[in-house]
Amino acid sequence: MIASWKQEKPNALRPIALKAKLQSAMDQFVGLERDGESLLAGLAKVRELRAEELPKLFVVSHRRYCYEVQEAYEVRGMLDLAELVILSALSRKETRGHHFRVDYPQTDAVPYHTTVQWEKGKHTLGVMPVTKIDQREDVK
Amino acid sequence: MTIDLNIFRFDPDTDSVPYYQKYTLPWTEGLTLLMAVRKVYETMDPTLGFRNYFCGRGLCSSCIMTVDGKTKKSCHIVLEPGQEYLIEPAKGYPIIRDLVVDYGVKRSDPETGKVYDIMSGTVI
Ligand code: FES
Repeated sequence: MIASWKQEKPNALRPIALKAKLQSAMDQFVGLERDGESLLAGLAKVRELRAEELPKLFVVSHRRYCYEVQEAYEVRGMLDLAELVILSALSRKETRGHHFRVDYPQTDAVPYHTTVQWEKGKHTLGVMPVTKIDQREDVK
Repeated sequence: MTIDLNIFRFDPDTDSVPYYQKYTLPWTEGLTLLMAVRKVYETMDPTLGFRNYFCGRGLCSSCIMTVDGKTKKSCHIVLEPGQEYLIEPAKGYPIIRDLVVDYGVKRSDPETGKVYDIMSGTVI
């Protein structure tokens, strides 16, 4: 990974530039008020950033205190995390707390957890009932 | 209005002697030295080394630098327009690169000069 980041390339992109792009996309599509459409648009945007912009990353190489390399790792993780945030927001079809869905303004009577599992680039969505910790089988 | 920063540069792997590099950047109301250095890194020179982790409000001391010969917390220094500043790494610590020094386990308080062990918090 680091080796490919250190290679000179045309239209090179600094990690902070990609961070800024991701942050503005999340702000625009996955902000306080969200609906299915904007979340899907955000998901497409994040995937596009990962496919097209991530390979363009370029970091200056220093052996000592190379903050840019760290930022490159960070932004790679941020892209994965952004995708997980959007997927779980899409699967919660209600409004709860600061997750305000314009298309589903109601709050369901029975609360539940949504879960996203991410393994080798594939995600699985799930739902878990809300139970008190001392009633959970797997914790006992 | 602009400010000039004369920043100490030294990479022990590639440079035999340190040198100073001058950056000129626009001044804005309330600009602190820490934010100015960060701006240099973000917009002008990705190779500048400094500690980009900080509280920004005088609590963590990770931002200490030597400004015109005095070691101070750079987040507390508000820059004046049209001035030139000499920025060097914190005195008394081994230099890792540019403005980054190895604090080790000892910290000295720039005001009182007392040296603390950060693990136990006691004065050494
Ligand atoms: S940034 Fe924490 S003390 Fe200056």
